[in-house]
Amino acid sequence: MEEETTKKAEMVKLISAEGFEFVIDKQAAMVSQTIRNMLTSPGGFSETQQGQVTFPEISTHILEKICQYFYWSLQFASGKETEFHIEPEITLDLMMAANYLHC
Amino acid sequence: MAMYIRVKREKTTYFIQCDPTEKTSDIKQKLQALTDQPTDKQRLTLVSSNEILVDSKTLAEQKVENDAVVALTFRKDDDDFEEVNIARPEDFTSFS
Amino acid sequence: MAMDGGRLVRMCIESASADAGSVERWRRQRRTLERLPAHLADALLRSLRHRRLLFPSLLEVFQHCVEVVELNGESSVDAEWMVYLGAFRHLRCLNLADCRGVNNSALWAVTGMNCLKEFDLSRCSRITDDGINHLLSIPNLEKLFISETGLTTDGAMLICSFKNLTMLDMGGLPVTDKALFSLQVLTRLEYLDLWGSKISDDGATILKMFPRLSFLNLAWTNVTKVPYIPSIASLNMSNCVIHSISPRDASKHAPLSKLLVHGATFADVGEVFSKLEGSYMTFLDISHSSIHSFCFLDNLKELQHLDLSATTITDDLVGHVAHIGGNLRLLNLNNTKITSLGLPVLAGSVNNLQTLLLSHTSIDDTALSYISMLPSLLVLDLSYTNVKGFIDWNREGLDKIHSLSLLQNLIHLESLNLEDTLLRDDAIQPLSLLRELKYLYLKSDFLSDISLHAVSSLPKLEFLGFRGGVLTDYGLFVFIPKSMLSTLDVRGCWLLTNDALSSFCKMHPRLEVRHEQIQMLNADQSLSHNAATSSASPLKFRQKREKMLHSPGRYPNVIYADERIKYSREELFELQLSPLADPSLCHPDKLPQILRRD
Repeated sequence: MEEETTKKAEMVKLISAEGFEFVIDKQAAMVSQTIRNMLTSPGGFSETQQGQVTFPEISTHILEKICQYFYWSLQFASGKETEFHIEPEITLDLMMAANYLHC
Repeated sequence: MAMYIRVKREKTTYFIQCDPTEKTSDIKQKLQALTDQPTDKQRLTLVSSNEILVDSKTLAEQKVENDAVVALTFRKDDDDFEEVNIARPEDFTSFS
Repeated sequence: MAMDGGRLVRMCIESASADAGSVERWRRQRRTLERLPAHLADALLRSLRHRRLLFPSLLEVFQHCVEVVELNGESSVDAEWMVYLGAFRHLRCLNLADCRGVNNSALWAVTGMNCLKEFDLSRCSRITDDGINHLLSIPNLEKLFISETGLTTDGAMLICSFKNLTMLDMGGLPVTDKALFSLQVLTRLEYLDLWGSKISDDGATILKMFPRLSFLNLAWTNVTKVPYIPSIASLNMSNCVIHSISPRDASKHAPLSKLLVHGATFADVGEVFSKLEGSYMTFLDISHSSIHSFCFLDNLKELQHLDLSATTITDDLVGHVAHIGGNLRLLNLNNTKITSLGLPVLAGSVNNLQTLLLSHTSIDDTALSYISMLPSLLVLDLSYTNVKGFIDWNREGLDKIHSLSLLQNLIHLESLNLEDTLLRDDAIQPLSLLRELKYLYLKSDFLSDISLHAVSSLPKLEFLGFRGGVLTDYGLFVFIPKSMLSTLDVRGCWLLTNDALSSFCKMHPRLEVRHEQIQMLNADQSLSHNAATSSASPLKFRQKREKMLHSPGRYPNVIYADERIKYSREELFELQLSPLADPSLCHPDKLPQILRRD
């Protein structure tokens, strides 16, 4: 049981504008400088202390793409050179979200 | 990190780090920690092929690759499993 | 907020500007485009321009978000582009320098752009006095660049209505004193460039009316006397005849710290400098000027940058430099009569020197032992000197030492130029000891494969120049660049064949190789493969390369990446045994007659 709680503590929940939830590793979320600041600043954001962050400005499919990027970024850092494909249709929205998240 | 899969149920997606040599049961263990549902009450379905994943087989054997989408369903009280239900944001147009 | 953004931001911009097809897939997203933060919109526009995907009607989608537009050098920019740009409501900075298609009527479109603060029309030669009338409705302009346009004194006089101007570049315009008189209302001016104008000493007296003027360029004018200018910090009087530069009250104002008098003629150089607050000067370029006395240097104790190239400085006079050498970071003695005898004078006193330029002097190897005593040296230019790489201790030349090995004392040395010296292959080996070297320039008729391989192990080398040498195909083939190397310049290596160069480039796709043959090769390729390569992102490109290497069969038109498979076993043997490939057989002094060019 103790192991389970540690497992949960290592995850964070990102919530999209439409209320969809993405449960991802804290380590992946920290690819974003903005989320890193939220999670590490003492007493900063009350909701982050429960391990969840809501992004009312980011739509679900963009937030999912962002999460995929976090994991791609970790894989890339460990030497796995695959392409991260970005469909041209979402470049503008993704760019704005990435800009907000500093990633 | 070798790979990850996206486990989806209703409006929730779990990004699960894993290895191609891990068995389906290993993934269910990880999901138990996150969903509080015991492994024997979970069913995983590879969405691209609609194949139900077998506990004793590895991910590689069942062609579950990096970034794959896997549907999660729970066993209902009547012992049957729920239908696969992955919500799509288009169903919530009022927000867009 | 970082302007360049994170990696994902950059990847999005790359994807959005991958090719014309991708542009079509986002350009109708009007609502999103209107919300795009300015720095992202600016970056996207820049990327589209670099990929040559920008056309006038596409500009329309950016009219609500872009603040900075740089189209300098684009000859296609004309009145149609300007109409779209005129609708950019938030445009703050517009750079149209060198846009030959921009004329007076095209400028009409920018009338009333209230946000525009910075406008660069440099070298738009079709802009004349009439064009300036269209600009008059841009009241907030702070920076205006109109050098080398078609403006005359009449047009220049209109500029006085831009009351907020802080920066004005009127270089290369035939404007007279009359124009300058009219500009005296521009009391916010901090930067004024008047090079090549018809300003005379009469007009120059007005310069004291600009209380904030800190940068002034009067090069190539008839001004001989510079009046007291309260805030002047940087003054360029290159190619002028100089009688006096007025002293200033250094206790009240930031003192003159930078003076450029390249190619100037002095009535009395000692007199001019004696009146200056010389002790505050950090930058002096007095190159190519006609001076015979260097005593004035003695007061310039704060100098960090001193350019004495092509002056009459000699070994006897270099003591003046040594005297003030403590703060010097850069010393340029190119094209002077300095010899190795001048170096001992400098060696003990210029301990902070980072850059030493001695090109086109008669310096020889004995200078190297003094140069090696300059601990902070980063950049050293010994090109076109008598350096040969050996010091002969006795006349028979039996007891030779490798002089280049002295340079290993320079533990910070990053850039070394040894082009057109007397170096031969047997002198090069010590260069492999310069572990911090990033840029190495070699150029010689005599250096061969051996020298290239001697320097190939330098771990930090980013640029390697190996020009004009007798480098063979085999020598290039067995050369293994270190991972940091980004450019290999083998221009003038006339033995290299087309095949060898193209296979070398394929083996090392990340390396930029410069050679006459490659320019021709690239010209051919860009005609046939333009669409295929220009659209690929670097990452995609890399993967394509890898695929090519691993499965050439899938790309039937691709040349084999590994040229070795073209040769038979016997042919390879023959290549390996060719005389130039074997160091022991190749003494540079015994080159076959056909390989000697002098």
